[in-house]
Amino acid sequence: MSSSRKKVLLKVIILGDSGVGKTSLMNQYVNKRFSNQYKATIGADFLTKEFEIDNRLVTMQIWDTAGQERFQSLGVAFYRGADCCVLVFDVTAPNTFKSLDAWRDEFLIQASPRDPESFPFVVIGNKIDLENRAVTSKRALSWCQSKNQIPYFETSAKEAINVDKAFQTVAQNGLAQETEIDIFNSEFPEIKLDQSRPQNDSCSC
Amino acid sequence: MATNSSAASTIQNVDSRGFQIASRKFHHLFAMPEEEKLVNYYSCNLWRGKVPRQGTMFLSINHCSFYSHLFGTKIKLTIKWTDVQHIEKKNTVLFPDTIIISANDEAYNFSMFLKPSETYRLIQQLANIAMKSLMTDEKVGSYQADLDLVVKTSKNAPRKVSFLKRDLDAKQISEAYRMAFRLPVQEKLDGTLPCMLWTPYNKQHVWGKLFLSTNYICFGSRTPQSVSLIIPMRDILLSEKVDNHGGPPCVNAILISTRKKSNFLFSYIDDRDFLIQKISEMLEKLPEDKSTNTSSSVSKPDGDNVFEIQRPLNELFAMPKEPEVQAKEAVRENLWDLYFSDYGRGVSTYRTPKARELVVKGIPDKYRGELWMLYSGAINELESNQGYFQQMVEASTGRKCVASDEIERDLHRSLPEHPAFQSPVGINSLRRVLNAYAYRNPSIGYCQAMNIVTSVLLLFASEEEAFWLLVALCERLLPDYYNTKVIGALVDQGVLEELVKTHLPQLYQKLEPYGILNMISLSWFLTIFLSVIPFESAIHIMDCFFYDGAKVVFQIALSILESNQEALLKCKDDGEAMTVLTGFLENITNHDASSHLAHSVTYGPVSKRFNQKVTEINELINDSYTKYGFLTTAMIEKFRFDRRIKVVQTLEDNNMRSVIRSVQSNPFVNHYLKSEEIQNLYAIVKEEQLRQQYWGRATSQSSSTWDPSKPFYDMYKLDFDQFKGYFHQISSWTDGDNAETLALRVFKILDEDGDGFINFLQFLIIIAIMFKSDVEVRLKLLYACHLIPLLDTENPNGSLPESESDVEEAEEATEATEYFGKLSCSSSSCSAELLPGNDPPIKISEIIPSRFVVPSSSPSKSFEIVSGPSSTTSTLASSPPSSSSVNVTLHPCHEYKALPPMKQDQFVELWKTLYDIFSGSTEEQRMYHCVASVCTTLFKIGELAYQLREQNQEEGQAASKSPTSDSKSVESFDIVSQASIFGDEHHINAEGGFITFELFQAALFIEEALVNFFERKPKLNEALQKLRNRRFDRTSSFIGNAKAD
Repeated sequence: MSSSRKKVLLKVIILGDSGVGKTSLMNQYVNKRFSNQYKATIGADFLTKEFEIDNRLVTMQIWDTAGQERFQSLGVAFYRGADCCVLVFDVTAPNTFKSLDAWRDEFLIQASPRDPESFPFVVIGNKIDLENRAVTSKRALSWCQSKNQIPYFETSAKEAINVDKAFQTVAQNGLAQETEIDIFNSEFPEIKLDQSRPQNDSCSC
Repeated sequence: MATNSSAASTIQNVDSRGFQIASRKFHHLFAMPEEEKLVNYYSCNLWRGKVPRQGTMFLSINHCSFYSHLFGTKIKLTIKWTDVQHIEKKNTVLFPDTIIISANDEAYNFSMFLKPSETYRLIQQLANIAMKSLMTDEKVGSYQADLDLVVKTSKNAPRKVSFLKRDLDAKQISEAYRMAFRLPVQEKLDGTLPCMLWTPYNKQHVWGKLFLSTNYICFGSRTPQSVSLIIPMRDILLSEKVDNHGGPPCVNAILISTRKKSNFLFSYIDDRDFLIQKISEMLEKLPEDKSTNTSSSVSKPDGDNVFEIQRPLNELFAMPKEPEVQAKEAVRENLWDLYFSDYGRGVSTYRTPKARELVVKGIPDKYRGELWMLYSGAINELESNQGYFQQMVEASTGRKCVASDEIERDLHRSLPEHPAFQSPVGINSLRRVLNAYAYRNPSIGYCQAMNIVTSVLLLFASEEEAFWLLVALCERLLPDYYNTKVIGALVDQGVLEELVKTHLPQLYQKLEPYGILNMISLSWFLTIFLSVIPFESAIHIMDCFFYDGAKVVFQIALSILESNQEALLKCKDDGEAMTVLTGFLENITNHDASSHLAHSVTYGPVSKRFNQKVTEINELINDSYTKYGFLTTAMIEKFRFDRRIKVVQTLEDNNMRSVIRSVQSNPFVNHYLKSEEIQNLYAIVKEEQLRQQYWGRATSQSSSTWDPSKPFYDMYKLDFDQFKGYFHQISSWTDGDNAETLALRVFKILDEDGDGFINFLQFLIIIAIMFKSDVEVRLKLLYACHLIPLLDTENPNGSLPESESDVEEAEEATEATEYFGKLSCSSSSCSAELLPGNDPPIKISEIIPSRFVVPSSSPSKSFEIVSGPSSTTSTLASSPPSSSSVNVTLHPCHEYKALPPMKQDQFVELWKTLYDIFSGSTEEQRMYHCVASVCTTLFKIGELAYQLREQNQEEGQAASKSPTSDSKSVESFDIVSQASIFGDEHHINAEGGFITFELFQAALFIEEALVNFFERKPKLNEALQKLRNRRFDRTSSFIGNAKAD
C-alpha cells in the first residue's frame, strides 16, 4: 500500500487586503513562528509545506499575495490551477471584511475555475488576539453561509490560534477538489481517474 | 483662454505658408475640427494588397491620416494614436523603409517615404504621447505647446516644418538632455555648441558639446563616457574670456569659475562673445528665484509642529563592524578620497568612467548618501527647492487620507530588521517623507514598495535628501512605476521579457508558459531588489542604480536568471522556479559589508529556507556589467516604447471588461443587450469621450474625475449635447421639429441625480428600450417623460439650464421625491399644499418592468472598487442596497402604480410630441389621423373625469346638506365608468390628474398603426454603424463652414 502512496500537489492562494496578516498566517503555518519583522509583500511570495493526509503525501504550495489595491489584477497568472483560495480579513478592521466579496469575485474571474459555485474557499478572520475587535463572528459567519457555506475560522497568527486547523480544512477541501488527480506522478499515469481536468496534469510533463 | 488664443495666433505666424495650406487641406479632407493640430505631412505609399497607393500621410496630435486620390480611386484613412497596437519599421528588399502601423487589429503598411527615419520618429513620438495620456487620464488635448522652447531652439531649425513639429522636436531633445545629465524635469535646453573642455586630471583638451539651459551648463564629450560635466548656474561665480596667459594653451576660450572654487576651461568656441552674453543673461535671471525661495522657507517654520530634519539614520544606528570589514571600508574610502582630489567633489566635477569602477566596487557608507544625491541628480532638485520639503511635511502632517492610512500600516513593514526602524526616530522620519511625497504627488500617492526603498534611503541620506531621492526615483529614474496601475513596472516587466527572449531564449521558452517572470520581477523592479536580496547586498545594487539608472536593474535581472538557468530549466512548475530564484536571492551576500555570519544573525531573512550556495554580490554585479553592460538607457527606452503600447492597450481592454461586467449586472440591460452590442456601444461612447478630451471640449465630469468607489459604468458620462446627438441618430421618434425637446425630456428621465450627465448604464437602458424592449416600456417612457417638468426657457433650444436653475431643480427634485414617498403610503389628496405646479419626477427605473428589478441586490462591483478604501457599502448581502443603483425601485410590489397620472397641460404636450414624432414620415397623414383620434378620446375622458371630480367634491360638500344627486352627475358617471374600462378612475380622482398611463396605453392600442409603430424593433447593428459614422456627418457641416471661408 505504502509503495503506491500518491503524491499530491495542492495549490493554495491567500488573498485579502493589505495588512490583514496573510504573510504571517502563511509563516505561522509553514514555519511555526511569528515575527513582526515582515516586509510588506510586493508582487507574490511563496512557501511550500509537505504533510501526510489519508496516507497521501501532500505538497502544499502556498502563494502569498500583495494586498494593496494597485497590485490587484497584476500577478494573477498563478491564480489559475489553484485548488483552494483562502480569504483573509482582519477582525479589527471592518473594511477588510467588506472587501471579501470583491476578492472572491476577482479570484473567480481570474482563476475561472470549472465550477465557480463549488470552488473551495476558506475564510479566515485574523488577529483575534487584539482587543479592539470590530467584526463579529456572527456577521462573518452569515456572510460565509450566504456564499455557499464557506468554512470560517478565527485565528491569531501571532498566538498560533486555530491556524493549523484552518489550513487543515484548506487541505481537505482542496484535496476534495483535487479528487485523485496525480499531478506529479508521471511514473504512474494509470492512476489518473479524473479526466475532466486535463489542463492541470498536462503542465506536469 | 485669452493666452491660448494669443498662443494660437502666434502659432499661425510661426508656421510657413505652405504648411498652413497643408493644414487647411488636412482639416478639410478629414473633417477635423480646428483643435486637431497638424504636426507634419509626408508623401508616401500605402500598400493595399499588392498595390501601392501614392498619397499623403498627415500626422496630427491625435491621428495618423492618409489620403490618396489617384485615377479616380480615393482612399481616406484615419487611425487614432490611442488605438495603435504596434508600430514597426521594416527594411526588406521588396519594401525598403516600410512603416507598419497596427491598430484595431489591422496592419497598415506605408512606404516610399522621403525621410523614413524622421517620419518614424515622429510617429513613435505621437503614439507615445497618446499612450502616456491614456495612462494618466490626462487630456491629450491639453497638450501644451511650449512656445518658449520653440523660440529658443528654432534658431537653427529649418522654417519649413510646422511649429508643432519643431515643438515636439524641441521637447524630445530637451528630454534627452535632461536624461543624459539627470536634470530636473522642468529644465529646458536652450542650445548647444561644439567646443573643447580642458581636463586637468590628464592635461588634455577633449572635444565635445556644450549644452546651455536655463539653470545649467553641461558638457558631454564626443566619445561617449569619456567625460561629462554639469555646472549649475547657481554655482557660477564668474564666466570670462581668457586668452593664452600661463595655464594650458587655448583658443577662443572662456573660463567658468564656481563658488566652490573650481575652474572650467572651454576653448575653440566659435562665438564666445555670444555665449558669455547668454550666460550672464541667465545668471541675471537667477538670483531672484533663489532669494525668494529661501526667504519663504526662513519665514515658514514658526508653526507648532516644527521638526528637525533627521540626519542619516546610519549615523545613529550604525551596525558594529568587524575590524576586517572596517579595514576594507577604509580602503574604499581612501580610493574615493583620491578620486575626489583628482576630479573634484560635488556637483561641478569632471565625471568620468573612473567613478563607475569605484561605484561597482561599492560606495563606502560615509559617502553613500552624498554620491546617491550626486549621481541621481537629486542634489539639483534639493538645492533649487530649498525649504520645499519642510513645506510639504507641514502641509501633510496630520492629514487623514487613503495614502496616509496605507503609509501608517506599512511603516513597520519597511525595513523591520534594521534597528533604525525599530525605533520611533526612524519610523517618524519614514512617515514624514512618505506623507510629504504623497502630498506632493497625488497621482502616485503611496505605493507599497516605496516604503521599503525610502527606508533604505533614510539610512544613508538625511530626511530631506531622502525625499529628493524618492522624487528622482519616482519621477525620473523609474518613470510611472508607482502610479495607481504600476504601469511603469509592468512596462519594464515586458522589457525584461523581451530581453530574456533575445539573450536567454531557452529559458524564455521554459518560463514563458508559467508567467513566472512577471510574477517575480515585479518586486525586483519596484524595490530595486531591496525586498528580495538581503539588505546589505541589495544596497550595493542601489549604488550602481543611482549611477547608471534603470539599466542596472535589467542587467542584474538577466544575470540572476542566467546564473540559475540550469536549475530553472529543470523546474516542473512555477512554484519550483520560484523556489529556485528565492533561494538564490536570499543567499546573496556582501563580504565587504559584513561577514556572512554577522549577516545571518542580525539581518538575515526570518526563515533561512534553503540550503543553497552563497553568491557574492560583487560577483553578481561584475558579471552583470561584463555580460549585459552593453545595455544602454536608449535601448531600454526603445523597448519601453513598444511595451508601453501593449500594456496600455491591455489595461484599456481590462477596463472595458470591467465596465461591461458592471453594466451586465443590471438585469434589464443584460436581458436585452448582447455583450457584443454593449461592447460596440462602449467603443462608440469611449471614442466620443476621447475625442472630446483631445479637442479640449471635455467637460469637468469626464473620466479623469471618476471616483473609484463608484461603479465602473460611471466612468463614462454623456452630457445632454452628446446624448442628443446619439438619440437623434438612433431613435425613430426624432424626425419632427421638436425632437430636441423630446430628447431633453428623455435625458431628464435618465439623469436621475440631476447633475446634467447620464452614465453609461443609463445610456444602455435607453438603447435597450428604443431597440429591444416591448411596446409597453416604450409607451411608458414616452408617457413618463412628459411628467418631467421642463423649464420654459429650455424649451426653444433644448439647451440645458444654467447651473443656478440646475441646483434649484435638484432641490425641487428631492422635495418631490419625498412627496412622492408620502403619496404612495397615504392616498389622500394632499397635493394642494405641496409644490403646486410641480410634478414629481419619474425615474427610469419605474419604467422598467418589475421583473427586471432586483430590489435587494446591489450591482456587483468588481474588485478595484470595493477594496477601495472609501465607502464600500452594498457589497455584502447584509448591507442595504446602494441608492445609486438604477434598478432600485420605489414601488417594488405594484408595477402599475409606478406611473402617476398626468395633468392636462402635460397631456397636451404629450399630444404634441406624438404629432411631432410622425411629422415627415411616409404615412404622415394616416398617423396624424390615428393620433388625433386617440388623443381626442383621451382628452374627452380626461375632461369628463375632471368635471366629475369637481362635482364629487361639490357633492361631498353638498352631501351633508342634501343627499340627492342631480341628473348631470349621472350622465357623467356613465362616461367615467366607460373610462374605467381602460383604467382605474380612482387614480384620476385621487391625485388630481387628467389621464393615467393605463388609459393612454389602452387608447393607443386601439389604433393598430400606432401599435405597429411603437412595436417596431429597429436593427441595433445598423444603428451602431450609423453612430460610428456620426463624426463624418457632423464634419460635413464643418466642411460647409470651411467653404464659406
